[in-house]
Amino acid sequence: MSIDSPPQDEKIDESLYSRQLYVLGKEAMLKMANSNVLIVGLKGLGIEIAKNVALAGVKSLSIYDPTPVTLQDLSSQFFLSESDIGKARADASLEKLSELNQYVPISVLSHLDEDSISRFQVIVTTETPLTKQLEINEYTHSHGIKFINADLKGLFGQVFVDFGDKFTVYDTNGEEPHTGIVSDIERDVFRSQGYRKVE
Amino acid sequence: MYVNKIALFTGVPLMESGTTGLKGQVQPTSYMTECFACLPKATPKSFPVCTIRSTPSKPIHCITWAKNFLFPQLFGEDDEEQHAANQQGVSDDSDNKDEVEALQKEANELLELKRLIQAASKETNSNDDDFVHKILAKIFKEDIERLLRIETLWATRAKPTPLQYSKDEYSNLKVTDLSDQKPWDKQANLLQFSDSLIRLTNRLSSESTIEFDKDDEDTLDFIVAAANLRSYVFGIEIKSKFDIKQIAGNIIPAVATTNAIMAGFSAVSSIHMFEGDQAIANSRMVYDSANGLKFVNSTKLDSPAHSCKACSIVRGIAKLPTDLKQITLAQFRQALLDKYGYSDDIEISTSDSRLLYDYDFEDNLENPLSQFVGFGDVLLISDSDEVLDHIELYLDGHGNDLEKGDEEKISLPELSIPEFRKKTVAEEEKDEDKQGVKADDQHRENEDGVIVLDDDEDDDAIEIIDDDEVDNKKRKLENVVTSEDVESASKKQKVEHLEDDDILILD
Repeated sequence: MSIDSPPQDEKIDESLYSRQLYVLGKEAMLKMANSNVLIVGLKGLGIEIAKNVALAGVKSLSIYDPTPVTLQDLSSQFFLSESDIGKARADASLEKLSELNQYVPISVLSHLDEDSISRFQVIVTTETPLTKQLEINEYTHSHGIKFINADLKGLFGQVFVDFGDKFTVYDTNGEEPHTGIVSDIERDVFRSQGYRKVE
Repeated sequence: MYVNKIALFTGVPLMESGTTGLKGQVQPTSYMTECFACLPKATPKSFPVCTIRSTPSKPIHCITWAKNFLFPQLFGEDDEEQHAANQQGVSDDSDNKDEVEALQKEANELLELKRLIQAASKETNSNDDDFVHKILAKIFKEDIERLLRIETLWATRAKPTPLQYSKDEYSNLKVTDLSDQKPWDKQANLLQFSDSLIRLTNRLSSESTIEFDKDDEDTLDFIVAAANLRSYVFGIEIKSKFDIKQIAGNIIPAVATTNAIMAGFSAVSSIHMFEGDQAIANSRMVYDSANGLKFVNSTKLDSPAHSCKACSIVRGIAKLPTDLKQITLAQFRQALLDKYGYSDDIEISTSDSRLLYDYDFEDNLENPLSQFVGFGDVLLISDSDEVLDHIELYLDGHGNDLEKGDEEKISLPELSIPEFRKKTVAEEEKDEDKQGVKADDQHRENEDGVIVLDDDEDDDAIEIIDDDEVDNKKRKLENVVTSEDVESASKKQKVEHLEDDDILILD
């Protein structure tokens, strides 16, 4: 189902989400409530994204990361503990993630292929090699799935966003719209460059 | 503010940060740099009584009126003291005798309305909504007509229009159809006023008083309708129920992501605090950027402000024996003279400005300290010769880090006391706990009558000029900096120090 026109009668739990509602607005939150999100890669960055998405409230959240937990992971992945070393990162993070928001069902995706990713509206990749990113984006781009890749290098980070060629941007630069006051109206036509009408 | 002060006493750096919606900041403070109190914080805006009661001009005035005046008058406790205080507040705030008289009369009549409601709540015949129309007529018609007769109020202001309506106008609507996202029109507001009033009145039969609560739908509906109807009368913009809920409920918007980002900066910033004084002095403050291209800006912290009430006084902790009866004021004074090398004598006062000792007032010298102070109190020590500056000492016990035989000693902290500065700082200390409400130039403040409410409205029209070349004629457009909301007291503006680097330097 398209999430660009959210059903208007759906209810948002205002007592839980009231503070967020005043930042994002009801329409945005309804869209989120209809979105299934997949997050690939659950090291420090991935778990941070997963935490924020779970708290914000989406229809469902899936996580994929079969990589076994190592001791080094513990320094930035806050949902892992020593007893998790050796387990798959996604499996080890599942329980604590699920506690964050009772409205968001969270599950582990067992494999990553065209079939398994087709049902998502948004896919976020982290810790994913470029070739795999390209492969996934190829699919998402042609199937109307929103794609985001994020990576960290120490204190630096990068984000790549592809929302497809049909995505409508309502606010291109976050600037306040220009307003002005008509100070004067004249019959003369402003001909040469350098003059601009005040609207 | 309190935490800030304690941090200054103990010499521990304080990492302060906060977020509101998509904005936030991280502000390390310490004795080496400006402290939390150095820059004046935006205090919550408060409105003079008369703006609320007779000459509102913004939606927030109407909302404040509905929530803090009308609602408690109709559904709150019978409080004679409060009633008297309100009347006093009105006469203190206004020079206009007619206005004062009108408002006081209005308040008295409201009591009658309250009786009407209480009587109605006891009626078993709940179809009688006569009292609703009486109430509508009084507050949105008669009271307005009375105000209109005071010509002076409207010499420079747009006149209000008493509410005109007929009972049939809104009878076709249903309350459940009303959206909370869109502002209601007049009919809808009338309907909601009537409907919520009846709901609340019915509740009075089992609850003796009702208080406004933004999550209590009945009370919220009433406030929204009442505020909006008042806005209609005064020609003010109508707000949606959603917006009014935020304003009336003082809801501070919050999202997890901003918190995550600021938490991250806060953690990385804190590393400096373990690296010694130099690193602490070089700490940077991080705050959200008004410029759309960057998310955050950072600036170096200033050194402590000279006039800062909190940190411009040297502070430390004095450790005293557990039994304060064993130490006399004289011994304490001597310890001070010895430790800090005062040239002549000192004055010792308490934090609430009681003088304990000066060279003219020796009566207390032989008395034990326990008579005047206890642990946790703060003493202000001033140099009589005005050579050294004032210091403040927090009195504490020795705790566990005692060496044998030290239990009876007075341990004064190592302090580097600067030269004497004018007394203004010390005298202002007295007022420290009263956060002075910032006076608007056009209004006079009054403690009893002033109603405090966070204002997140920006009512000035935003004018941005296109600063391309201007032609020969002078344009009267002004450059205006958008005023940001002042809801969160932890938010600070620091536009002066904007740095234009593309790189955000954190170390």
